[in-house]
Amino acid sequence: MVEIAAMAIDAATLSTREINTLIRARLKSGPAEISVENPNARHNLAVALLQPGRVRFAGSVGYYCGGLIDGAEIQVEGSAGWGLAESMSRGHVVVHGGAGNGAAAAIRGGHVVIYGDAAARLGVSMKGGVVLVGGDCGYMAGFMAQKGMLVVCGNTGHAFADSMYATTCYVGGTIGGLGTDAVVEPLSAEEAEMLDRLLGEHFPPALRAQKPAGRDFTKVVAGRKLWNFDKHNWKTWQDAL
Amino acid sequence: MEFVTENDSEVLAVYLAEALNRGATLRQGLDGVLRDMDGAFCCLAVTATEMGLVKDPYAFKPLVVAETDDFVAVATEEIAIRSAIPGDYKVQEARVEEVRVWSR
Repeated sequence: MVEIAAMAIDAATLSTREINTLIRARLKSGPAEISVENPNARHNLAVALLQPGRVRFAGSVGYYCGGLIDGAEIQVEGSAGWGLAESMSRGHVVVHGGAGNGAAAAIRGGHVVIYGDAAARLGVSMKGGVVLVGGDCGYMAGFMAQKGMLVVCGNTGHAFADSMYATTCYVGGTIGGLGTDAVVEPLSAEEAEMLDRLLGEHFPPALRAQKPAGRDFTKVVAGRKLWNFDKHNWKTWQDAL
Repeated sequence: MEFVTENDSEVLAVYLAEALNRGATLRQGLDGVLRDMDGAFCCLAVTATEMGLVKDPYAFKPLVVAETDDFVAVATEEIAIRSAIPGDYKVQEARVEEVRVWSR
C-alpha cells in the first residue's frame, strides 16, 4: 500500500517561492496531498510541479497557477486569474470558480476543468489536452488552437475558434460569433456520447445535471482555408490579418 | 477640442472630463471611450457619486470585479481585492467591451 503524505501550508506567512519550494520538496519525496490555506489570489502558485501529487488551494489563485506542470493534480476552490495551467505537459487542473484570460494557454496535454466562466482567449494556441468549461467563455476562445479538445457548456464570446489548426471545439450554448475560418460541423453520435462521458467524469453530479446533454452541443472546427495560402481565399486572409 | 499628449492614460482622463463637462453622464462618457478610442485599455473612473469601468474590445488589459450586497470592488487583479477586503465573495474578470456604472 502506498502511503500518501498529507501536508498543510499556510500561504499567508510565506513568500511565493517558499510555498512552491515546499510543495516541490514534498512531491519529490513521494505521492502527497497538499492543501494550501489563504492563497489570497497570489500569482505563480504551484508552477512547474514535475512530480505527481495533489495540491488543493482553499481559496482563489492569481495568474499562472499550475503553469508548466507535468503530471500533478491541482484543485482551486475559488477562482483563478490569467494563464491557468499555461503550457502544462500533463496533469489535471480543476477550478471551482471562474478563470481569467488565457486559461489553458499552450497546454500540451492533461485536463483543465473550470466549473464557472472562462474569460478571453481560453485555450489559446493549445497543443493537446482537454479544456472543459462549465459556464461561458469570453472573446476569441480557441484562438490559433492546434490540437486537443475545447468544450464550453455555456455561451461563447465573439471570434470563437478563430484561425484554428486541428483542435475540435464543442459548445453547449450559443456561439457569440464564429472567428475567422471557424466552421460548424455536424455532431456524431459517438461525439455526443463522448461529451456525456466527459461531463460525467469531470463535473460533480449536481453541476453536470445543469449542463446540456452531449447531443445538444455544436461542433466547431477549422475550415482549413488558412492552412495553405491560396489566392482564391484572399478575403479570408484579409479578415485574419 | 484638440488635446495632444504622449501619455495614453492622460487621453482617457481628459476625454472623460471633457465629456462630463459637456453634460454627459459617466455611462455616456465610458460608452464614448469604447466608441472613439483605438487600442487596448481598461478604465476605471470615479466621480463624486458614481464609479464606472470600461473594458476594451480585445481584452488585452486585466480588470476584475467583485460585487456583494456590502461592496463593489474593481481592480486589475484579484490579489489586490483580497488584500483589501476579507470575506467570502467571488471575483470575476470584466467582459470584453463591457461598460458598468454604479451609483451611490
